[in-house]
Amino acid sequence: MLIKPTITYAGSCPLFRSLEMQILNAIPLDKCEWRRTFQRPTKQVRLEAQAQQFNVSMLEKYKQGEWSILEHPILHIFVTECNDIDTYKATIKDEIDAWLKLLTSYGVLDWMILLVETLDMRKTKNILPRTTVLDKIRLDFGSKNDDRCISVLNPAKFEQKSTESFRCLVQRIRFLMLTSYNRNIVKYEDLLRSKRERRNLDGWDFRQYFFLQEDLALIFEKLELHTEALIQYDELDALFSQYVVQQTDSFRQPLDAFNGICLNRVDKFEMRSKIRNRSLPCSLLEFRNYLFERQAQLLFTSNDIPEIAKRLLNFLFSTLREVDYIKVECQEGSLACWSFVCALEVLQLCEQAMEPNEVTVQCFQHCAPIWNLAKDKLYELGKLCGLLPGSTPTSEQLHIVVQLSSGIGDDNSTVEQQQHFLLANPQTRERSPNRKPKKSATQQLKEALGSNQAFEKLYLELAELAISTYKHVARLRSARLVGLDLGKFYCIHMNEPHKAVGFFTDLLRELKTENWQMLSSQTLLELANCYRKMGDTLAYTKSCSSISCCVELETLVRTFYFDEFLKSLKNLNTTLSAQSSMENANFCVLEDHFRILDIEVITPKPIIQDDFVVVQLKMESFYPREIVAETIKLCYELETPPALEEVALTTPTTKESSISQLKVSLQLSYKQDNKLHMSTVSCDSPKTKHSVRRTSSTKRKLSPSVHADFSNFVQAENTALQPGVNIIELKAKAMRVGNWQFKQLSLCMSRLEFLSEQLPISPPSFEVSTKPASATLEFKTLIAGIIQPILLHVSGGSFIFPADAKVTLRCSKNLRIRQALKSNDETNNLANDSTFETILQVPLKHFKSFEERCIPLEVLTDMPGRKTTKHHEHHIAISCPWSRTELLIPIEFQPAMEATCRLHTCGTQKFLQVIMKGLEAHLLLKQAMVKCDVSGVKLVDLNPKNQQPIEIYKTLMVTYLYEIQVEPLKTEEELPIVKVHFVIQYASLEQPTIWRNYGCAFDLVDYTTLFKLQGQLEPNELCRLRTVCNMNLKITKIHENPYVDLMYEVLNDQNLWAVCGRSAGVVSMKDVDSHSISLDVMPLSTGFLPMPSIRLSKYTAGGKTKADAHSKVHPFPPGQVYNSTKSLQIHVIASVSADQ
Amino acid sequence: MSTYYFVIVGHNDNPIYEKEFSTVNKELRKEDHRHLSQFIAHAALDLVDEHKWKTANMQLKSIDRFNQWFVSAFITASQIRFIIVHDNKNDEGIKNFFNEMYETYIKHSMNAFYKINTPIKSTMFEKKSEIFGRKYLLS
Repeated sequence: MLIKPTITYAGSCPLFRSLEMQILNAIPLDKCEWRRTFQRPTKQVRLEAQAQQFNVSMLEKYKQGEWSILEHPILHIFVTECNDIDTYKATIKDEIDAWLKLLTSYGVLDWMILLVETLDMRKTKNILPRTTVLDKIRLDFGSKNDDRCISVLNPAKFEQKSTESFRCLVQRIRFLMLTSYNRNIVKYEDLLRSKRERRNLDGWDFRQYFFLQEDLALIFEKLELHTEALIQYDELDALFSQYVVQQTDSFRQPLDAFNGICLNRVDKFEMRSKIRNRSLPCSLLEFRNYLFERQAQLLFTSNDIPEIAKRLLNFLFSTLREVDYIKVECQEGSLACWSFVCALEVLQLCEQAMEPNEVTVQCFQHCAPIWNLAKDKLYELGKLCGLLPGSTPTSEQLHIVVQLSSGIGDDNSTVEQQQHFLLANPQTRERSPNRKPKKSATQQLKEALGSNQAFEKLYLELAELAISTYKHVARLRSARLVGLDLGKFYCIHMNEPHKAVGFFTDLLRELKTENWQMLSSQTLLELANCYRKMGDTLAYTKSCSSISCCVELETLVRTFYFDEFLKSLKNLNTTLSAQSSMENANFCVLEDHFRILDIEVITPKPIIQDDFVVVQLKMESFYPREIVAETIKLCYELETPPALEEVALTTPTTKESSISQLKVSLQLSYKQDNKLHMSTVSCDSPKTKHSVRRTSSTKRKLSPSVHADFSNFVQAENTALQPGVNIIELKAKAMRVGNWQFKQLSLCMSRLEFLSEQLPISPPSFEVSTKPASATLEFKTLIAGIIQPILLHVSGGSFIFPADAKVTLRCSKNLRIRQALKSNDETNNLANDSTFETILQVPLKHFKSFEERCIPLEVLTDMPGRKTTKHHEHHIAISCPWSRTELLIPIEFQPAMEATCRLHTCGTQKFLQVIMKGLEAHLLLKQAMVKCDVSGVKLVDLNPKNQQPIEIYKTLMVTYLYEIQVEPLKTEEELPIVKVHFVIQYASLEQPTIWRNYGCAFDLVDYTTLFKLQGQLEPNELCRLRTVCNMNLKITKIHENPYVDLMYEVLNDQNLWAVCGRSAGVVSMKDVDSHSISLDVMPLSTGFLPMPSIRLSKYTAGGKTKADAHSKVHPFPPGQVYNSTKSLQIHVIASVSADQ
Repeated sequence: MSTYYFVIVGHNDNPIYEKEFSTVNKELRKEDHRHLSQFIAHAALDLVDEHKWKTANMQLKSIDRFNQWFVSAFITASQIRFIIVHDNKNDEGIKNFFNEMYETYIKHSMNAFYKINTPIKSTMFEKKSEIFGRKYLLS
């Protein structure tokens, strides 16, 4: 169908005809700027035109409002070659006038007057006419629009000179045509609007309206306004959808032919003429096809191929809905055929037009669902016609095939035309000549319907294409969904289940990760079916087990698969090959079948090495019935300190940041004089095709391949697990010390092992430890000499004691020990100190680990006869069954009492005073005795006889007195030391019947009196205050002795006495027996004053040798000097003068 | 006759609430069909994720076609995805439904006892979705 705007001509028709070809050919040569109304963008348009002689009938329709913009003449030209003004005035003017009046009467304003000048050169050279015909015409007709009057040199006569004027003419014609379109389109649109508004009235003809509007669309298309043309078609599409629903009857005829769309028809308007021809009723499909083809054509020319693909599904399904709504009678499968052909047609177009540019991705995006649709429709057909692999078509089905094949229709295009069609678009590229041209969609379908093999091949091809296209546009989930269909096809129809497994497992993995339980259980069903067909018992068993645990499924299904599971579980032992590969591992995911609710360590803390660890496992079983697990193991591993991991983590992050650094570079540009003009920092960002691309979620494996270290585990055997919550006790011996953490749960049934992926968020940890056994002695302050309680504390720790274990205690010298006696034994053994031993063995009967036992013991140590109050140090060595080395425990004893002695002199008589000083203990004393083995020395007991035992306690002192009588012959030279033994019996207040001896040895030295000191105060017995008295001292030698020089000192209290003159002096006793000294003293106080005490010392004069430059004074030991002035008192009375 | 399969998908691509609205009698509906809707919704997740960054709108409108089914989606501010698989065009109704369900979801998610991304098991929520489904989708 040719669409060219029409131009009419009137006036001098032969003249125009002579110019016609030239003008019409010239019009499309150049583009013209089209200024459009309503501020629409200007456009460069290339026009074409056809010419017709002016005919009034053409305008009739226009006037009536029944016109079509397509047929309506767009420009009316009046042609004349009148050069003579007179002729013009006489005839031409009237002609033009009549012509114009006729036009205006029809409301046509698009006219043009063309004056063809056949200029006579000789004439014009001489006479320049005052007014030309053109001026006249302009004056007469073109008062407002003189651009509509134009003159042109006849190009037939002036080939050289006419070019310029002719170009002007063509330009003017183009311009006027476009102006005319501006006006006419607006008018036409008004017309359409008014027509459309009447669509609900009776008798409104859609078909008529359709062509009216389509004409506009065609004009738009002609004027290269593809989008606006498309809008017209879209409007028609929408209107048609309404119309179909209202006017169901008009399309209700049965559908015999169901040709698909053909995007590369030879005659694009073949269908248009068919639709237009009312005698041939056109089917809904044909109409729809035509509409879509037109839309596709427009989209193709505006190079928006993805949009075609995008629109296809809408087109197909809305049409199918309409067919369904109208209830068009049609052959079963015909619609599928139609959809299939349409889909394939669009896909082929997309494929051909694909360029490695951005359009492609968009295109692929829309293509993917179409591939899928084509695949589905083909499957539908295959099912209908018995073409699925493994089935043979019946005669009825063959009949259907024949019917369908005829209904599809024949191929409408050829390869050459295809090429031509593609070449029409400059963007499409040449296909390589080696490549075989694709068969058309119709051909492909026919072939596929022809044989099972062809069908299978095509189906697989389509499915693969759908999957790969989905994958290409990063829609993995959709790809997997298609994979599900393909898997089903492989498994059910082609009996090649091994090919299907991959598709199912892929999908299953994703669904499980994302918790789409219902879907994953459905996929599992497929997978189980697959494995059953493959004869893969292990996998089948696993799947059955998983299915029976799918809570979403119906109980009937679950129990069926549960039975299957048990059945094949039995067979598993015989069929399973000995070695299990990684793929074929007999691991199952525990989480699919059980849910671990809680893990609790029951054994009280701390758990000792070699003890049993009992763990309570709370687990929910999803199986529909009871199952028996042969072993349930829960392994544990040593806890690793988290610090190490942190260190490891930090290093790679820094690395990553360095990688992701942008490639920034510095650019400097200089001026001509080498000065810096500009500096920039630029960054080439790598071009990413997809700005945002989703990453799939973390992958979860279908079967756990990681088998944790099961060297340490707690386990339970042959446990029956009920559906729902079970509480199981797992047991194991704690072998190694450390902090343990549970890692993985394994559950074995026959050859199957269920392994947990991960335990609930915080698996409890437990500690296995050992505790050393220990033995200690506990005591308070210990006192020597009496029985002291002491506690042996044995704590068993984690040591396991033999039945006859004992602890041996060995005491140091003088220390004895025994086990404490029970109170009722008191009478028997109380007195018996012999039960104390230096080595004691304490039996530990039936001593258990971690037992703590306190064994009371008693210790006794001798009280040594020393006078000092120092502590007595002892120690006890303990040897224990758990240790080879002895444990040495130091013990200190404090003495119970203390004995000291003093020597007293009375003239030549000597007395020994023994002082018992009570210390810590509360004791009874009796039978004090002194012994002296030296002959010639006799000790006379001066203490009262037969006295009761004396109580002694802290801070209390008991004194015993003895007189020492040394035989006169035995001089000190003979017996320089007299050893005296003091013995006393004592008993503690708690046990007053047991008397122990306390002995103490004293050495008596310097016991002979050498000098006697006497003193007298004169006047005797009457001293007055502040009156000088005379004190006479007399030193008498009693025994011969080597001390010659003596020094005396008066040691007076300065408040009581004042010594007048020297208070000290040295006397020599050489060759004299006595010496008298007189001193003056004065009392300073009244009353009975002690006499000033005198001290006598040995004196060694200095200066005799160089070493002893100074004199030295040495005191005498107490027994060698008898001072008789000691404790004398003087009565001092107040002085007379004082009284006065 | 129209069916709507509505699903709320959490951050880990896991369904947290599913509901089906249909004018078709329950016995008539094929069980298989329900799975297909679910499958389609699941498969559309890729596309939802692709679209959600391309627009500032929460309503993603009809984003995918799978044969005769449309997939419409809505994305909340917290990136929870609402998806409806339907076989009838009903843009306005779906838009309203999504808005109402968004409101309901927000209220539910503010419950201190509800953990985000876990399945919604609230009778109140169920009732509300039932009401809105009948009001906007099936009417």
